[in-house]
Amino acid sequence: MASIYSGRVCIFGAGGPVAASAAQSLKNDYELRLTDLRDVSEILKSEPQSKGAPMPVVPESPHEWRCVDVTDYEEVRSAAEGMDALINATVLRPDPVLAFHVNLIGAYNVIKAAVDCGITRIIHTGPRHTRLNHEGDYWYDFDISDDAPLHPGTDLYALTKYLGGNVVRVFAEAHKLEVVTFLYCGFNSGDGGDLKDGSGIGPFFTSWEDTGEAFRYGLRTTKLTQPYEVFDIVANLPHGKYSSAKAERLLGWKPKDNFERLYKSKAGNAEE
Amino acid sequence: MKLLVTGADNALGECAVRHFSVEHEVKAAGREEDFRDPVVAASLVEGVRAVLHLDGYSADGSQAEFELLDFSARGTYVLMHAARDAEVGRVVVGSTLGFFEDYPEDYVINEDWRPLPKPDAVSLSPLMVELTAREFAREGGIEAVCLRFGLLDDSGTPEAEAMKAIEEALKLKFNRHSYRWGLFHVHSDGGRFTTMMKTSPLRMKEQQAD
Repeated sequence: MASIYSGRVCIFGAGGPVAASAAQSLKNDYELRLTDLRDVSEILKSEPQSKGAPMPVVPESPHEWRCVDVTDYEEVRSAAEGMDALINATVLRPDPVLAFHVNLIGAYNVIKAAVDCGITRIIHTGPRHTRLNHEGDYWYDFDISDDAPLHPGTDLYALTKYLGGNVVRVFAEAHKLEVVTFLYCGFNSGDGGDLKDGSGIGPFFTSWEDTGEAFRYGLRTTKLTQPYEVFDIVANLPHGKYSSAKAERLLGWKPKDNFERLYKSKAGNAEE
Repeated sequence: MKLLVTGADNALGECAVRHFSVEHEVKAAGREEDFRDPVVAASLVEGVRAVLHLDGYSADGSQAEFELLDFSARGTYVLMHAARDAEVGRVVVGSTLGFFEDYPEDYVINEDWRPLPKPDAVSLSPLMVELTAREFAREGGIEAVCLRFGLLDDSGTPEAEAMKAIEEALKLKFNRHSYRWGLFHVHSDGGRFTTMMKTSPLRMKEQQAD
């Protein structure tokens, strides 16, 4: 099993906060090719996706930024050439056409390029939606495994990412790849940002800082048990719904930020 | 009954248009009717009682990968949305037994077996159709029966058998306390491909006997 401790890594969707967080964590050990539809200078003119969400930084050598349309296979393949690993953090949510193009066909292009370029370690990303407003979404369930199949319903974002994940799984199994899939839901800064003590937090949240660090472990692990291995990248929260245990066991990644001050009452915080 | 048949330009859809036009009013939609456009989809489902979504049965390998995947996934998504909005009661989804070619030949495959599409757009397209339609049924507001067919000949699923299965799927009664999705294999070779039509919660064969 390939363990990528150094070398060249291409990140697709580098303009988004998950990829920005990943790049921050990887930049000292890897040579990064950061790709997005738009140039980084243009992205930096816009607001963060949400308050506290990381923004990309202008890369310095040996890192580089390249404009790549993930829906264009030739551009994706060209970006993948010479890389030791690929990270697909692309996502497009609300547009009823582009959501299919980016989340499904983009995933197809990235995994196909990996195969064509002989790259076996890929980190794929997607959502673990927790509240989709239908009876199959696990909202009222507990002890939900990382391997619990996603039930996206007809939510555009959830469904298109689900289809893309299925495409990646089929490629991974057929070509014996090592695909690490990270699922996320909500994010916050590690200190809980502006939220007040005891204001509560949902059952699937991750700090931006931990989000980026997970990628380092995803590149280095040698303990994958199947070609398409899914991990919930989630803080260690006490709700009893989701868990970081599988990621700790197979990746060695352990969340550092667990939002205690948000789920403990004011009195509980004062005791510490 | 007024029916919409998609995939009217593939072998299964052509056959369905011929067969069902005898007793029903059939709207035929081939790939020229681009139902990825919500306006087109709404127009197609207007007034129909059931949709035979057979477009996913066979993918045209000459199409670009982008177009194949987009038509299968987004086309199904938009069409299913339109059907649900129009309160179409039943959707029959046509799919393929080609998913199972990579299992050893001596395995007996029923609906409990996981599809193994090949890692290419032609093979993945019908899976995109199935997965998308399945989520509409899971969420509610529509009942769907997915039928997986072999080649439309004596070695696979003879045309008459395929049409009979679609007729049964149109009549199938769903228990309102049970699933809104049914999945059945339709194949003449009972050795290689079997079906759970008798044992699934929908008991398609028993209903036929009723």
